[in-house]
Amino acid sequence: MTVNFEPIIGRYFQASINDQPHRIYMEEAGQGIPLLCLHTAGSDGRQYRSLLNSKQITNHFRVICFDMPWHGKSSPPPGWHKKEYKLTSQQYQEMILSVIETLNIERPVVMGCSIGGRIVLHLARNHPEKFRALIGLQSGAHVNPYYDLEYLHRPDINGQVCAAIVSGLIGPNVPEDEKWETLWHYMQAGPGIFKGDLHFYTDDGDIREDLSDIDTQKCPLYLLTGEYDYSSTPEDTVDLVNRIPGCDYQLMTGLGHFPMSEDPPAFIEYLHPILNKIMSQPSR
Amino acid sequence: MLENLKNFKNTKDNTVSQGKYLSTVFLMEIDHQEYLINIHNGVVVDVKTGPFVMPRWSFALRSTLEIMEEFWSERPKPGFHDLMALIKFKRMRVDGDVQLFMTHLFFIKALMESMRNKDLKS
Repeated sequence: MTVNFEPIIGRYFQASINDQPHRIYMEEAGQGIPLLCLHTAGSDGRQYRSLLNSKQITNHFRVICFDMPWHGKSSPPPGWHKKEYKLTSQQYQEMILSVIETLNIERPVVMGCSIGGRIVLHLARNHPEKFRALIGLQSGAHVNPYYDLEYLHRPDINGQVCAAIVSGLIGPNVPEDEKWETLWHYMQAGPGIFKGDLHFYTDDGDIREDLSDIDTQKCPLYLLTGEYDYSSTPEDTVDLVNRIPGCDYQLMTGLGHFPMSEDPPAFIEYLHPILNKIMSQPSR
Repeated sequence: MLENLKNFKNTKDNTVSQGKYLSTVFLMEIDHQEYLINIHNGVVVDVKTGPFVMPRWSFALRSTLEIMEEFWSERPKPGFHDLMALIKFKRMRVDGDVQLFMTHLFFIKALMESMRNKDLKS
């Protein structure tokens, strides 16, 4: 019997991140321009499963997804049990730069969603020369918490509350199987990890005051936002467009907060024009 | 108007079935019209229509008819399509035992969405 292997290669690597040893899990497929993909808070790299399986994309791009420390199959660092996990913008940027350096990736395109869509704004501001282009999915400069984040990490509330909270962020008419695959990832997160990521999203990662420092002449910035996202709303992304000259924005009709995972074919339709533009960009 | 909630079937759906651990009475207020929804082991056993003199309830969901009609329409607009969306945009207020609401959020979302595309006059 022939095994129906997917073209994705998954493996672990060792890296020093924020001065601590880490064991990181990554998946990759394809050859060409490196495209590093960043998953959302409280989830993992499986959100990009369809991009990794898309020959249309992997014929031209080397798609790389890693699980952030504490997420998916990446381990937390030694001593994790002695302190609360709280992601900061400094740690997050350092993590991405360390992974790029460890894997010897030269000037990748980085695409991030949600918290990943926020961190690409920090990367655009602080390290534009290191990237060929940046793509923000569900990007906004700041989100005020709209529920008490303490509910996300309590021994008397099952962790599936994380999935219950984000379930409505998914477009209501996307394929049912993809919706529940997306929620499954949220049900598998380690205790307190979604909450710790949201420390960056709702507090430390606020970049409203620094948007004018972003220069899209140094690094192109592309933004895609799903219309049903009530966390990072289309209005939040339009605000970015109004404040960052030269960035490229497209609303994604019918999609929500997890476009690459909740309806991959629809998302890839929106992503293609951006990837084509990046391919036609002169490489420095 | 909320009589249809009694038709909600606590199915074997893996997430909704967790409602079997929920027994409570919660208040739904729509344009100041009150309803008490009595749930026993995830089954809606009674819906009472107010006004009430001394109601007892665990948590309350308060909104307007205009908003809830949109939420219960076949294809609600973005921002009206989910309980947490209503809450974020201050179109719904949740008060009382919010922890109980959050503990059973999957079930309560499914219960409220069960009224979608139903005749609200029945």
